[in-house]
Amino acid sequence: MRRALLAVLMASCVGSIGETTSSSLQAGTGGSGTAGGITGGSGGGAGGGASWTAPRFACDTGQTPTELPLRRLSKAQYLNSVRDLVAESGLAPADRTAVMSSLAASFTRIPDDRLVGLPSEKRGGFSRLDQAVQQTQVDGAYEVATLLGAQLTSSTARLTAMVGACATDTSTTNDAQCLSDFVTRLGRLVLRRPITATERTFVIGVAGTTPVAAAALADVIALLVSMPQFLYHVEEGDPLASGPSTLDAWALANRLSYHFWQTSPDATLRQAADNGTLLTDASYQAQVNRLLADARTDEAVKSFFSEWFRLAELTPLNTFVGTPLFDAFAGNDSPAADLHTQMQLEIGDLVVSVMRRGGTVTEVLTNRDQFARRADLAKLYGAPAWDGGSTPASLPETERAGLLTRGAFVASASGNTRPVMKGLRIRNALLCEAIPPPPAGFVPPPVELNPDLTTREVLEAMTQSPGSSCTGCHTAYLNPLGYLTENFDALGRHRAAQTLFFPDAGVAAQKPVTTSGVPNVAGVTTPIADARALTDLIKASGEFEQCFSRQYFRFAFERIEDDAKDGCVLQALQDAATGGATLSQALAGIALRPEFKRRDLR
Amino acid sequence: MTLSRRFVLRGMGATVALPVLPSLLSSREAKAAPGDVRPCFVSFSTNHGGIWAKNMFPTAPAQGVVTQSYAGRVSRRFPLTAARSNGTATVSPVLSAPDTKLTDALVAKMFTVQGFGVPFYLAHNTGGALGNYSRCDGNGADAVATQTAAQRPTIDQIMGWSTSFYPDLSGVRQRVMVVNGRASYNYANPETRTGALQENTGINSPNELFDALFPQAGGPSPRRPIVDKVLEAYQNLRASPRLSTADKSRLDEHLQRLSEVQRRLSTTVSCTNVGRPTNPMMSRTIGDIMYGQSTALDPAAQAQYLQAINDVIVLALSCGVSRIAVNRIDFNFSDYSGDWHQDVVHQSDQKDGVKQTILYQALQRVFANVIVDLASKLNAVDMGSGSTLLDQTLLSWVQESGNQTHDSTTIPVVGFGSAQGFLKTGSHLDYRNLELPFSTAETDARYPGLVWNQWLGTVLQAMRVPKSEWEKPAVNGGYPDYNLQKLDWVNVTAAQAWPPAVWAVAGEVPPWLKA
Repeated sequence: MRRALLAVLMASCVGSIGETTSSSLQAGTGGSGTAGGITGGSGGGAGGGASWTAPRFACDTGQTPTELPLRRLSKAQYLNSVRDLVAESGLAPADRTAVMSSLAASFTRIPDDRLVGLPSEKRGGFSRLDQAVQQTQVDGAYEVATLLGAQLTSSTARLTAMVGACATDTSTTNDAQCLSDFVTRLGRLVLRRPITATERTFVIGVAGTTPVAAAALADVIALLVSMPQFLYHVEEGDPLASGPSTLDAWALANRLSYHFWQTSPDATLRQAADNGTLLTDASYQAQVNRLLADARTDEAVKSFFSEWFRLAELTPLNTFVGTPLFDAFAGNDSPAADLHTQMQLEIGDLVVSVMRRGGTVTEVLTNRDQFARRADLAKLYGAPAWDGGSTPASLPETERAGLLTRGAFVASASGNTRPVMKGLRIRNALLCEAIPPPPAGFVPPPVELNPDLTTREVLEAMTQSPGSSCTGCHTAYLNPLGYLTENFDALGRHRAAQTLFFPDAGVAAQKPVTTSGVPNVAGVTTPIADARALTDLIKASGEFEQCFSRQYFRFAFERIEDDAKDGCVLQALQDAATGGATLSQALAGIALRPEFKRRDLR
Repeated sequence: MTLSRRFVLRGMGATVALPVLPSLLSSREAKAAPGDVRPCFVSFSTNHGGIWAKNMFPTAPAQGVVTQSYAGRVSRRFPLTAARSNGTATVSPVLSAPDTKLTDALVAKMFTVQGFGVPFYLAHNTGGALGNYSRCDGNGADAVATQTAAQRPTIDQIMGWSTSFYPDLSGVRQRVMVVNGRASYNYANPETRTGALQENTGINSPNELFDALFPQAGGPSPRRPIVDKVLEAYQNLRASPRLSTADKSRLDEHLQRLSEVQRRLSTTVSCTNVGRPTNPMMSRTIGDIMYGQSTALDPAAQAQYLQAINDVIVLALSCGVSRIAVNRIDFNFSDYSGDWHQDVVHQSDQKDGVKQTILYQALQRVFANVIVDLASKLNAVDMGSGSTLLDQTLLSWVQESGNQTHDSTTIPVVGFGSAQGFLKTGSHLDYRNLELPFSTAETDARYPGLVWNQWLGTVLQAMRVPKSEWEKPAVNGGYPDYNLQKLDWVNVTAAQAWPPAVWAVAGEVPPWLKA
């Protein structure tokens, strides 16, 4: 009876999904836009100059996007802002370190941002999109503010360094001016714009009758750091205007700084905002170039790609070290507790290298340089470790096709490869295509190691039997994308054959792995041989670049795109990504868009 | 042995200033006058489930089963008893624990319920236990629909923000103690019930929970807290004509949270100078325990960790600094070294029973080491007049699934405590309609019962939260006001399984459960 029910429920996964002309697989889209569906193309051959392309976004300048109200700083942005505030406090380096150390426990009490994405992107999304304001966040920010105030004023030396000698001398006649000057200086850093006279009077008011006493100054600092202008991106304008409001120089400086560096503007950017030059095209362009060239941008770019590629899905690979079957599988390559972290760092090095050497967006997919810094990961690649500075060598194994064959994309903790999950990640994350969820009532059976069958063979029997209700989704959309990297084992080692084990961990056989498959990419189903061909196929389709456009839009604007209303920005991103622009140019381009420089308050 | 609150505080490693305690206790005892002591709620939920009924629940005795017609079906009740052998008290395979802890007195304060369920498919959910069905992975059309249509605050939050539940917040540091994430949800502005529904993330460690409840006393400060000025800063910005209406709504949400900070800063915690328990687990994080190589497969370590949290919960309820705790247990409680979710949970219905045994043994460890641990600790706190803190409390443990993984039609409920005399304990209650089997399979015979909304509504009533604060009878009785009913089975339609007679009683406390 149960199976009969399942058959009915799974009907949605059967039938036309595997067809070339299927409309069931839609690109992940937040709206009803014109470029949402993966509608297929005109056909072609894998790796041989395929002529189909992913759909193009369309720009309708008459559309008005729905913007986010009052964005709060992400946790990363908040921590960076506090760090940089302390860095500019005037305290001695050792004191700065001590202050930050004293805040560490309080920082942990602020909840991490959740990844927020489309419902169809399970485990996907960006932490920047988490705009929830929880009690624990407000509690934590208040705790940090009060503790920071106390720490910065905890000694005469710190007071003198930060506020000036006027705060610690014996004279009281200069106290009021001393406090006023301090609030002016600190307010400019904390509010990320000049403090107004009204605000200064308000803040000074908390000090009371002993304006430069340590406790009074601690309250002043705590109040400033608790203000909404520090915790939120406050961008004011005219709600009654007929169109979006143009950001002023300070708001623009903040947008640039938080976008590229995830922190507050530095002195140079503040100066450009202060004197208004930031509002000139030339100066703005120069600032964009300067920020992009700064190493602080690397962290934001790593964060973007890490979340887009769902690198956090890779859990520690040593979980089953010590169990006979896993130990037999791992052999001399027993993974360290942080090997998965090394694989994640490798992707970060890859994207930064591509960006810094003038590579294109597509090169993130195709690059074959060796970025493993540590010997244990490099050994899995059959290569010497990279020193982190020199020009990286190419991966020696020709089967390493690029991104799809790096450890972070093929490894799994169980000792068994996971073709379905590999395929799902490529399909759902890298190509931005939605896969219908398993039907109600479905309980997936295990893909267990088998002494006679390869993982692929087990999975084929399980999901691709003729007439099976599973085959619609698995045959064209999930399994083949995973099979194409089955020549890499669960630790990321290249293999021509899979070692099959008995349950007692004895070796049963060596069986050749088959990588070929017939995946559907960009609406076309075609036979290909391996991950190299898949990489070529994806490259030719333009799907990777289209997906990049969606994902980077989300990262930049901290919300899900609407294909129709945000079509102009999406189109610009797609044009840059597919038109041979460098990754740097594509990343910088969004800051040059008019949509980046304005805010709609209506 | 029943201990005074004072003994409990000291026994847990807390250091209590002796001069303070006498006045504390006398103050509390005064509060313990009948009618003034208020109920507490502790919710445990475990992921997965899928425990066969014969493993989860006690077997009906040959004699002594009472029946009653209710909601168009026959319901059953029989007394809970524990068989005692080799140092173990056994109510059922899952509900067994060392007999020194699961005493007859504790069994008398326990109840089990079979037959509350969700009438639509809700696999992979963590929010359903407390009423937010939308927190699920969207497997299947029904669950996809819930992701947008069923966004509701969870009952812990309804209690926490109810002036009926907390008429006096002067000693309350945390309205709700949320231990782990993805279980507790409320609006961005819980006071006005406006804004987006959002998660209340949990604490990172037992120490963090303790610190939020018991601020460590510093020297007396001559200065007022700055929170009033911070509130004023937000109000000043809100007055700006250069912000959008939506911006101002966001500021309102923040202002409400700041008001909560302000409120807490003015609380007078009744148990002063309570030092942190010294248990080394206090500083560990949930992630440490769940993924750490030395703890991920160590049920004993996982138990010790949750027992440390239990200690803090007992302190909190005892001192009145909170009266609600939510703990969603993520740990596997097993040394199984494969893919737990895929290899065990998803396969727990295989007829050979191998994976079912692994799964139910894990949940037995949860029961013995976490649920009974807390129940016995609460029962050891003397609240005066012959009652214990457990009597004042409803401690409930529910699971994500019922008899079969991914199937929520019969979610097991295990309870301890009478919620200050509201609930009747000591029985197993079975509300299933045995005349309408979904499945008669030997391993997972399943039947429809009453709706989950009725259980959640019963809990809210037990906590004395008036229906006017949470029920929408025009939609359906109980909580939440969401009644998707689409789980058609081969031989039983959803309409047959949960007919109008079932929904008609959804707002009631079902038979035998009310004291």
